[in-house]
Amino acid sequence: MNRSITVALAALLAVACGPQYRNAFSYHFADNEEAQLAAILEQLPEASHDDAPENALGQPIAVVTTHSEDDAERQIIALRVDSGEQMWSATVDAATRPEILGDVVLTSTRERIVAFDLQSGRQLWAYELPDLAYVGATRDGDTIYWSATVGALGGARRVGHVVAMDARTGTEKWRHEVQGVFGQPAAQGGLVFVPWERQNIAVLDELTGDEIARLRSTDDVIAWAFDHPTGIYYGGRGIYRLTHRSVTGTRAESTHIRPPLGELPRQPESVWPDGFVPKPGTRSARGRIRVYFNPAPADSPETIHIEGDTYYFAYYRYVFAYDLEGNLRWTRILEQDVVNAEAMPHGLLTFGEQGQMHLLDRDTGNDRWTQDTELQIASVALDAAGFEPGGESGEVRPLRQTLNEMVVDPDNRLVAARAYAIERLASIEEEEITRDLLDLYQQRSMPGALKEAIREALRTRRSGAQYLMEALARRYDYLEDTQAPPLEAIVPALLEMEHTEAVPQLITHMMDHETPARVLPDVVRAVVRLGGEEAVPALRNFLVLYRADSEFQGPVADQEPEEEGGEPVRADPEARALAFAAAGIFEHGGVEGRELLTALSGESARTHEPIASHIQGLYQAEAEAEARRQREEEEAAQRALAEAAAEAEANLPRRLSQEQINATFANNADAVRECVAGELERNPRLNQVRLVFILSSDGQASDLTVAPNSEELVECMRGQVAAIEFPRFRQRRMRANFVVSIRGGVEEVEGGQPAVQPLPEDAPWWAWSQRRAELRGVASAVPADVEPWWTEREPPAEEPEPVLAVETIECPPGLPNCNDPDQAAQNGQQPEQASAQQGQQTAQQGQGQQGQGQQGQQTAQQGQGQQGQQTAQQGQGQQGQQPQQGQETGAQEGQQGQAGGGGTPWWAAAASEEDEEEEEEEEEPRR
Amino acid sequence: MTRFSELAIVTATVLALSAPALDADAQRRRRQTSENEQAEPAGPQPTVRDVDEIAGRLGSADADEVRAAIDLLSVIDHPSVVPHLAELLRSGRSDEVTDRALQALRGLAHPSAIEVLTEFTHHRRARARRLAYAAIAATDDRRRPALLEQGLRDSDRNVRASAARALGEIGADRSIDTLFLAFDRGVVEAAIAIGKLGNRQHIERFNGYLGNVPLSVMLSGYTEMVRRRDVDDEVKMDIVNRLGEVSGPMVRVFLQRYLDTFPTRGRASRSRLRQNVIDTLRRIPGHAGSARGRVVSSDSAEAAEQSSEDGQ
Repeated sequence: MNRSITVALAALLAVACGPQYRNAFSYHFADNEEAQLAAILEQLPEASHDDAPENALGQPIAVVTTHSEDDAERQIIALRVDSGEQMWSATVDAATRPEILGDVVLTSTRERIVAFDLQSGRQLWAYELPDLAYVGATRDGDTIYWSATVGALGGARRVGHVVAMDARTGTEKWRHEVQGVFGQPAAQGGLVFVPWERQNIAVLDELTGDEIARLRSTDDVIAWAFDHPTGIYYGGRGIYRLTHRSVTGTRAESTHIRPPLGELPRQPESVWPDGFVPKPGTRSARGRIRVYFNPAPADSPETIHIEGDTYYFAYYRYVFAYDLEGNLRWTRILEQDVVNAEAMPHGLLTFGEQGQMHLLDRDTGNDRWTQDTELQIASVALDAAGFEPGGESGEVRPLRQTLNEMVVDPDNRLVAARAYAIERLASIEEEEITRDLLDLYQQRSMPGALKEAIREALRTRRSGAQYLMEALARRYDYLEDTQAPPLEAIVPALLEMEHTEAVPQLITHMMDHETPARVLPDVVRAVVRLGGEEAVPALRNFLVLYRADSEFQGPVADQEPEEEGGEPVRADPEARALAFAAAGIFEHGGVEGRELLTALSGESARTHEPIASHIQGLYQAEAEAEARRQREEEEAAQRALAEAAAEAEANLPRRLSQEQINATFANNADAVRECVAGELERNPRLNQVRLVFILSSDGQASDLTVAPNSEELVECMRGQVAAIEFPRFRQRRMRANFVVSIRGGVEEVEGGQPAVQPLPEDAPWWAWSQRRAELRGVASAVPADVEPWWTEREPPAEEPEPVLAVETIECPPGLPNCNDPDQAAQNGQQPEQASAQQGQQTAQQGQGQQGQGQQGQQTAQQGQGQQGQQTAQQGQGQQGQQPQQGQETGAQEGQQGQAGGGGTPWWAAAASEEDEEEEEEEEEPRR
Repeated sequence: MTRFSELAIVTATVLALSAPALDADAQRRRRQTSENEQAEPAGPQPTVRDVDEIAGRLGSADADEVRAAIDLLSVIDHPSVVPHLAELLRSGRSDEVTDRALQALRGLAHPSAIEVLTEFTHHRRARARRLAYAAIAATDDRRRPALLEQGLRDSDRNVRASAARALGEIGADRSIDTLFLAFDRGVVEAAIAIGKLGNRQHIERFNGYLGNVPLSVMLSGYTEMVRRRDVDDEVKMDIVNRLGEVSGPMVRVFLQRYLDTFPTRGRASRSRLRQNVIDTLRRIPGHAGSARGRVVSSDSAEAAEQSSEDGQ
């Protein structure tokens, strides 16, 4: 009991006396909730643009910290911007830039946060802050909200504090401590916006500190947030405005702009504001290299406007101004490093390290106003909204001029910005820029890094070639103290411009001993590339003259060390130049050039070995390239063939139709004519010859069976049919048949009228086959003048006419009168189906049944009831039966026979058989 | 070994000993003397009829054979040799062969070689350029001064020096302004050429450098000036007086040697110039005859002085 009371009292004490930890920054808190955000937006005040300072005095004020030079203690000083008059000063060793928060000035030392009264400079309170870096503060009403953190730039320990305090007394109202990093908060409308973990903004209630909403960016970094009369802004390299679209958490869907400033000279992150790291209170590059902008009132709460439509970029003493499209508007070199600045409607207010203030005109960069405080400034806070001292904007100076001045500025701390100026200078279209760059390059005091930047910039130029040519015409002259032109900068630029007019001058430099060895390879390469065939004579002279000279002896290419850890062998530039010349001759010199190279690379030519090897390597490389090309061509041809074959294969019929088989036989009538004629001699009563065979996909026939199967006929037919080339088809193989009907025939008609001139009754069988094929659109190549064997032989008088009989099939159980179309319809079948079923015929053609048993019997039974499948069975009497399976198109042929008037066909079509279909289905997957 | 080969070895020895800056005529005389003295036992000298046969060997893969052929061609000393050597030079050979061919052209000293020699004044190897200028200097061609002036503009110090000396040797007095320009730019060898070519005004201009350039350089020019017969004694006395003002051991030695060139007897021994030299020497501290002289010796200056006094 006693123990319980003790615990309860301890808990009460903890709640009453300790810091009030609130519910916030939980990883379980829902983010990007639309309703929560809507409530927040409702709570925020209307956007306004009171163009006046935010401080309690309502005057443009600067609060600066000074350096501790000459053993003087560091001061914090409040100034009136317009007059430079000091309002007050106090001694404090400020570690961070001061902040003006209403009637309070806040700064921090290494151990604590210190607050001063803005009016008097009296210290209001101090707050101990061990082991934490003060990041920044904001104010709304009477409360100051500040954050401090450890580990914002990395490290094992990551702790963040955000605290609400009474501005005048320093009394803590609430606080949060989390394992994470906080950025400088923003506050407005009773809400506190705390960036944390560079991805979230926690929205806290000002009074309780409870988290009431959270924004999370899913595709961007949130490095800062600040309150502004026009709204709440946050972002990283881009600028977001808090709107209802912020709930999406994406850059594309949020109200967002990204200043199109391109690559600025510095680590990209460090030029943009970063609310997670302390603002430097002493000399630091971080404070001197920064992008400045300010939001401006917008017509719509869904858009972002930038004050003066201008972004400013300060790099120590240099200031660049850009329009909203990122075009450079002006540049300015100041006398002093910019410690801090504030973007204003008409320009940029800068505060220099030696206390000099400028208001740079937005349009020209000229001074609209200056003020010198003569203070040695370490850091400065500005609150000068609405400061409008007047003054003229002056004439805008050409960018070309100001950028040139920047490049030649001797401040070597600023090489990166000078290189940036070179880049921007090169982007100007004026032709004279090319000359400017060339002049800059030739300045002896120009640092190497800038020379490299100029070289690169010249390569981007596409105009002003005449200035390069002027420079190219210059020669080294010891007496006149004239230096050789900077070929290392000129030649690549001419190459990029493809300025072929430079070739004669380049050749002169190639042959000039004053051309430095290090640029000779570039010169020769340019001669080759720009000169082409015209440069070959000069290249020949160059190569021949120096191929054995000691100055040109060395490796033509960099070589890896032979042993691990050894030094790589660098190419000799002059030898490389010879190698380029040889390559140029090889490429453009034609047969003569090749002959020369062959001679120079011979064993007895005394050419330096590296050059000779290089020449031989050219031949080898060409041979390899040729072989590779041929190989690729062959492969391409093979691919094309394969594709064509595949396409042709795809276009092949799945299997041959009976018309195609008939047409093929019609085209090869001569092949079987002899066999049929021979059999007729042996058997004058022969009525028909039936051929059944297997066709493979390549159009070859095999496994032939013949009815009648007399030995002579079979022997004859086997050879002849095997020699026939049938059309190819996709299916691996199929069963096919063909019937040579010896007598009679009925011609097909279309619409009841003969399609063509009717054939005579005694026309030979191939004529009928050809005619049928033609009627079906299948070409036939039977020569018209072939005298048919048929005409030479009178058919036997007793030959019965082949009859196409319609056989009544046996109806299955439960389907009575299936042969009756009307009854079939009543049985639930479609009339067409029923008709087809009934139309499927059972053709019985059997000589055995008709008294021709010795020749064998042929029975074709077609029609399998409801499924319409056909079976052709052929039997042969005494010679045994040969079951015929897989015959196809019986139904079609039967229908055709009906369409033709129900007469007996000259040749009967075969029908496919069910088992062949099954075989095909089994085989398809294997393919 | 053929007779030509034996002769070539001898000639090669002679050519190898030839310094580029030597006077071409002197070299030729020396070569011919050498040939007369040493080549005779080896057999008959090659003649112009042998040119084609010898030139054929220039294409040999054997460097020794090529060098021997060059030497033989140079012995022939006929204009028909020049095209063969020019072709050899343009065909790109080793340094040794190229230099040997240039030296051979220098020995030939034929104007028809000026074209190929001009090409070689742009050769990337400085020694080849230097040899080319030396050969040009030896050639009797009106384009020589302009070409040699071009050599003064070369980036290589030795080439400039060679060209400056050559200008003086060929008497290119129209190049004197260019030589002064070269002298201004630090081509010290131009002093010798100026000393050889300059007139009274040029010498006065040259005197203006005294005290601004090293004394040794000035003395190299003065050596040539005081040696010349076409320069008035008044001018020479002015030089001596100026040097006397400079004084010092180097001046003393210079004047002493200059004094040695005067005859000790006859009219010349009583010239004002000689007396001026003697007087100047006396004024130079450290000189045996000077007022502050400490050293008494039997050097020539004193003897000359004594002789002069005897003459008086």
